[in-house]
Formats: sequence, structure tokens, C-alpha cells
Amino acid sequence: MPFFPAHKLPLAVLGLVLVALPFLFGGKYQLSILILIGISAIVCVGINLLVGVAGQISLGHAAFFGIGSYASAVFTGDYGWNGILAMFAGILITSVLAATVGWPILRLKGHYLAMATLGVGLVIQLLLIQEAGITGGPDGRAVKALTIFGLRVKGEWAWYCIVAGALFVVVWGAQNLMSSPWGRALRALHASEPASAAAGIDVHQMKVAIFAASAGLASFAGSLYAHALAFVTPDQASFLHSVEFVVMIVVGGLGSVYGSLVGAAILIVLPQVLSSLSDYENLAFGVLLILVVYLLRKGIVPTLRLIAVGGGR
Amino acid sequence: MSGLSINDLKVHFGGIRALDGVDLTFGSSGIHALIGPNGAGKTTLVNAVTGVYAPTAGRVLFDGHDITGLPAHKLATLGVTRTFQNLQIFWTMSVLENVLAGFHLDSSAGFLRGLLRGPALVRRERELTTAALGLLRLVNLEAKANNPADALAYGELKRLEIARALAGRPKLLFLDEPVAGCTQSEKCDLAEVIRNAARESAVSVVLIEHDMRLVMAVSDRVTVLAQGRILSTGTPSEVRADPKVITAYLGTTQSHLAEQVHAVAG
Amino acid sequence: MVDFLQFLVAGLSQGAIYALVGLGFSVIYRATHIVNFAQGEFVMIGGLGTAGALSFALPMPLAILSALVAGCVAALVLDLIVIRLARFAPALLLIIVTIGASVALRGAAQLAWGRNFHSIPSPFGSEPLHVYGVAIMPQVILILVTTVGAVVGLQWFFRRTRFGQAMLAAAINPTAASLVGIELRHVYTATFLIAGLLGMIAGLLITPLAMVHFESGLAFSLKGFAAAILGGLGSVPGVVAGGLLLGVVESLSAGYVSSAYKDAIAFLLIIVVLLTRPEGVFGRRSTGRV
Ligand SMILES: Nc1ncnc2c1ncn2[C@@H]1O[C@H](COP(=O)(O)OP(=O)(O)O)[C@@H](O)[C@H]1O
Ligand SMILES: [Mg+2]
Repeated sequence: MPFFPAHKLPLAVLGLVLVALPFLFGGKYQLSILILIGISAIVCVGINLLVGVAGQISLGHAAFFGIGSYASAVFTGDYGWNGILAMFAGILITSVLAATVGWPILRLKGHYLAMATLGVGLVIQLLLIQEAGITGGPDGRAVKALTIFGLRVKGEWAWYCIVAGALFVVVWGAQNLMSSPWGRALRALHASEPASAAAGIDVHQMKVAIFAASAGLASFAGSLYAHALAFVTPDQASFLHSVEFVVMIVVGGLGSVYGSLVGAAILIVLPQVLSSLSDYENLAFGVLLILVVYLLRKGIVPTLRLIAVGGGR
Repeated sequence: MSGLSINDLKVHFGGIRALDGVDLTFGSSGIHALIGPNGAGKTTLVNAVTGVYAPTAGRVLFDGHDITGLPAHKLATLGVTRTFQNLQIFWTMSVLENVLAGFHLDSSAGFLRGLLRGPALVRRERELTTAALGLLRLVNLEAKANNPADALAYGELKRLEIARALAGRPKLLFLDEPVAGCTQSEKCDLAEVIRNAARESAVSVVLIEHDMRLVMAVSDRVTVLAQGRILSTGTPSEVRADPKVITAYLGTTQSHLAEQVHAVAG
Repeated sequence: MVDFLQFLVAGLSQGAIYALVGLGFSVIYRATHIVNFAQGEFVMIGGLGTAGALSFALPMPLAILSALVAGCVAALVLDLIVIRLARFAPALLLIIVTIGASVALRGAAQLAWGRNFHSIPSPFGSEPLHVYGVAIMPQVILILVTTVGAVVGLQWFFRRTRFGQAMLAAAINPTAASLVGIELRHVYTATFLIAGLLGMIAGLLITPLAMVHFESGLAFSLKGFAAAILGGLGSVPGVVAGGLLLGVVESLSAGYVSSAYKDAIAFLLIIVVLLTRPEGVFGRRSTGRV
């Protein structure tokens, strides 16, 4: 039934999982991995709305993550701003920038759009590397601790709570959006632009809106990352990091909000496991990536859902 | 002036003159059929008026406003919408959601409202769902409302497009070969739907169709297009009697059309 | 003026390399509609493979041959993986698979040839020639001549040989081509081999001027993709022009504006070009039908 709030159930499960996880994996190192997963998952939820739901490829979103990181680093470090204020300034700057850049480039399609977003990402990363006076150059710079209402956020537990809380809110919002007319229009324009336009949907405006929104979300996650690790480098804004986000949503499931979380978890945990293979790490990672796409074409979460639905009959 | 008026409309694709100076008016109500052999430029006319193609030259007025080259979503807000000859379905959605998407302008489609999903939005969605189910009943698809769209047969998809277009509460509706692929009895039902829409909801319908029986039965006016120009226009009986039309149809290889014209004229 | 010519020569030789990589993208895209982000890895294999073999004291021709064999094996494996998927997977998935392949190739190269930077000697030494005050490395001349040769050869192959024409036919309409007896499997395999060879030629040509290591492929993939996009993906002359344009713009901006921002300027140029010509400088414009 469309109006039974079916999306409330998975959300409740997510809440339970988020509460249970730190008790299952409570070590310092394990918590730090969970924090990284949560931060990536926040980015992926946004990118999945853009790429998976609206069908607009971006190979440059790590740059927006990077802008968020550096906004927090610079505004708190050099200007003495409050961390929360810096975070919101970062989100605002990133969203406005993304909307400005997105307005022209989102008229492009497919591979041409991929090229343009890739180019935007590279240019932004280059700025972060070259403007060393502000950014600290290729080696990056340290970031001040985050203070909320005068309290310094310290330690893995505190960061886990913040990231998990943020992730929960982001997933809640994304679920709401997906089951709203706005989300429906987003899916519609992916399926057929002419028919969407004929139904009164301003296709281009919606693309720009989701591009800017997902960029803002990436910036938010970037700010969390900067404070949580107390350090930023231009690598966070690299092409490879952008690709990593896209790989996460493809592995987890294009268009699936929860797939974004699963993909992020796998792509963060996998390299940790593989790093024990030292020299074989790259080879193993590449082969695994190919295998996952091969075996789970629709991504993990949609595949599981299909199996569940099939088994229920 | 109400209704649509097209002045000297031209659409060229490189060397192809798909429309080569068309002058035409559609009133604010009634059913106006647009017929002509394949490649005559019928779809191009719809595309040029509904903002899919930019016209090479000419002007289009709707209810007195200049709408030449206006994008499709703006036209939708003015009450101009359409169906597509080559299906444009939201394949990833259910049948019901396809129609709900057609209600876009009537829904609470703001980003923030969607994000918060408050009770007003939920209530509006419930109302729209009732309305959408009503439209699906109209085109005899109510039973399949919760099926995925890609599970429908061709004729059903055609009808789904009609329901989706009606959801936009259009004042002017272009139906590009809406009953292609439907059985004879489905065609009769659809003719009824189209006629009702035109009459009760005061929609001005522009109907592109090859089935002459249907055209002659439902249309108030008929325009014949050939090679990007208007060959003839008038009431069904006037067009039927126009010797130019009969020669044109007999002259083409589309003999089934010619036969139909004869059968009806006969 | 001498400066300008110097920059121009440098840009043209770099651009020729981009053009060769871009042609690899273009050939595969035309036949399969896949954008192969592993394309730059062939440049790395060509250079690093030869350098690796030289370190075992193999003579140059044998060293080159061994690198080519390694690269062709990689191309065949890639063909096997990607083409199987291409039948049902959407474009984004295919991009991810080729990225996976490029990571795997990088990993394999790291195992085979280590993590160090390598170079190979130019057959004509490293004494620059001086033409009207412009210093030109003999290797640069070799790059330009070989690129012209490769492009002419490619055009000849597609226009004049039966197999090349069959490949073109299959690219335009695979169904019709297979109906007239063209074996699509062979066409795809040949496509990947040609693309791989183009990349490896680029690698052999550039390595005497710029050192390679196992992570060098990515930069070439990005620049080659950019060249192909500038050229509109499909046309051979378009991609060559796209590559040369990219190389020259990069070199001139490094010379006159800022060497730090040469890549930024090049990519901004591409974005501007795409905005004015959404289907590439040489791509054909069409009105999408509905
Ligand atoms: N997007 C397009 N690009 C090039 N030619 C087109 C395009 N759309 C239509 N045409 C050409 O315009 C002419 C009219 O086509 P169309 O309007 O589809 O005819 P009809 O709908 O009457 O069958 C045909 O010759 C067709 O090939
Ligand atoms: Mg038509």
C-alpha cells in the first residue's frame, strides 16, 4: 500500500543497527572505521540521488567533499569561527558553487557530463593543492577540534555518535524525499525527459537542484571528516576519491538509499582487509570490483530485495 | 483569442523540410484530427508546438500568448500537454506512479516539503492517488495500478500515456497515434474517453490517427498534412469530399489508408 | 617567437601522445559504446614493460616485443571481461568495470615491475637538434612521425582492408553486420587489440622523455578521454585534432600563464568547448527524436 509508511521500518532497523554497532565493534580502531563508513555513507546517499535516481553521472563529487573539509579547516583555524558555523558556511559555498557550475554542465549528457564533472573536480583539487598559503599545499593541514556548545568533541565514541546521528537524519530525509512528489519527479526525469517535461517538471532545474544538494551533503561529510581526523589533504578531493564514491553506490545498488550505506561499508572495509596483502592489494581490489559488478549487476541491496521478494512467493 | 493558432510554422532538419509553412488554428474545445501519410510532419508539428523542437520559423499563439519555442514544462503550466507516438513511459515506476507523475503541477512538489514529508503532503498525495485511480479506471487500467509499467502490453501503455496526460488537466491535448496497437473494442472505448475528455473537461484535443473510421467518427474538424504542408482542412465530410485528399491518398503506397478513405467516403 | 615555437613543439608532441590514447578510447567507443578507462594503462604497460625487460639485459627489439605481448594479453582479457557485460549492463556499470580493470592492471604492473620510476633510452640519443633557435629532441620528431604513421595506418585499415570495413560496418549496425556474416566476437577482440596497441605505442614513444611507473596510466586515461571527447568520440581526425589541441593548450598555458595550473586551464577549456558544442568540436549534432 503506497501510504503505509513502509519506509519507517527500515529506518527503525537502521536506528537499531547504528546503536548496536559500537557495542559489537567497540575497539578504537574499529570505531574509527565505523566513523569513516558513516561519513562516506552520507556522501553516497546524496550521490545516489543524483546518479542512481536522477541518472546524472558525476565523477567530481570528491571535490565538493574537499571544499567542505577545507572550509572547516580554514574558517576554524585561520578565522577562529565556530565549527558549526564553518560547517554551514562550507555547505552554502559548495552548494552555490555546484549550482553555478551545474547550471551549464547539466545540459550535457552521459559521457560528456562525466567528462565535465571530472574536469570540474580536477580543477578544484588543483586549486586546493596550489593555493598553499590557504590550504597548506599538497601535504595538507591540521584541523582544529570541533566544539559544540562549548564542549570539545573528543575520542572515537563521541565522533561515532555524531556521525551515526547525522547519517540517520540524512537517511530519514532521503527516504522522505524519495517517497515525495519531488523524488517521483527525479525518478521520472531519469526514465523519460520529454514525458517529464510534458507533465510540467522543470527537468533542468531539478537536475541542478539535486546536483547542488548532493554537493552540499558531500561538503557536510567533508567537514565531519576534517574534524574527526583532525587533518585534511588534497587527496580527499581527488578523481580517485570521486570514483570511489561512485563505486560505492554501484556496488551497494544504484538508486537505493540503503545500498549507499552497504556500498560505503564494503568499500571502506575491503581495503583494510586487503592491505594485509600488501603488494597484491591493487590487483585483488581491481579483480574483486570486476567480480562484484559481474555477480551483482543491480548492486547488493536491490539484489537481496529481489531474492527476498522471490522467496516470499 | 482563445485556442491555438499556428502561423507559417517551419521546421527544417538540414535539408529535410519536415514542416514547410503551416498555418492552422485549433479552437478552445472539440476534437481536431490531424491526418496524413507517414513522414508528413504530424509528429514534427506536435514537437514544434510543445517545445521539443525549436521551430526554424513561424509563430505559435495560445490563448493570445506567444508560446513560440517555449519549453515543454512551461507549456504544461499553461495547459498544453501531449502523448508520444514512440512511447515515453516512466519504465522504472508503477502504473499508478506514472499517472501520479502526471499530476506533478498539482502536487506538493517542493524540495523542502518532500524532505520533511509533513501531513499536508501525505494528505495531498492521498487525494491525488484517488484521482489517479479514477483516471486509470477511465482508460481501463485500474486493475493494474500497482503493476510495474514495464509489465504492460503496448496498447495498455498507450492508454497509460493518455491517463497521464489527462492528469495534467490540459486545456489543449495532443494525442499522437494514441490507439495504435489497441484492439477494435479498445479503440471504441478510447474514442469514448477522448470524446468525454473533450466534452466534459473542456479539453481541446488534437488527434493524430491513421484509423479513418475512428477519425471520421469522433472529429469535429480534420486537417490533412502532406510533405510538411496542409493539403486540406475542414469538417470530416468536407475533407472526405476533397478531391486533393483522395488523389493524395491514392497516390501513396499507403493503400490501406486509401482503402479506408474510400470505405468511409464510399 | 622562439619561445612560442618551443612551446608549440612541446605541445604538439605531448598532444600526439594524447591523440594516440584518445584514438584508443574512440576505437573502442565506436565499436562497443564503452568508455574504457583502462586505456591509459596500456601506455604504462608499453613503457614500463619495455623498461622492465631492458633491466634483464634483453636487447631493445625483444624488450619492446615482450611489452607488446604483455599488453596484448591484457587487451584480450579486458575484451573478454567487458564485452560479456556490455550486452546487458548500463553505461555507468561498464565505466566501473573498466576502472576495476585499470586498478587490477596497475596492481599486476606493480607486481611485475615494481614501484620505481623507469625510463628507456631514445634510439636517437638525447642531444637536441637546433632549428631556428628551437631545441628539438630527436625523440619528438619520432613521436610526431610515428603518430602520423599510426593515424594513416588506422585510416587505411578501416577504409581499405576488408576486415577494417567489416569493423566499421559492425560499429554502425551490429545486427545488420552479423546478418551478413561478420563475426562480432572477432571484431570486438580486434578492437581491443588495436586500442591496446595504440596505447602501447604512445607509451613507447613518451617513456624516453618522461619516466613511467605503475601509477602513470591514470593521467593518460584522463587526458586521452578528454582528447576523445573534444573530438566527439567517433571521428579519427576529430580525436587527433582534440589531442593536439589539448597538448598545445597545456604547453602554452604552462609557458605563458602558470605551469601549476596548466591542467586546470586545459580542463576548463574542455568544459567551455563542451558547453558551446555539447557533442564535441567535431561531433555531429543531431536533434534527439521522441
Ligand atoms: N529529429 C529529427 N531529425 C531529422 N529528421 C527528422 C526528425 N524528426 C522528424 N524528421 C523527419 O521529418 C519528417 C516528418 O517526420 P514526422 O513528423 O515524424 O512524420 P509523421 O509523424 O507525419 O509520420 C520525416 O522525413 C522525418 O524523417
Ligand atoms: Mg508521427
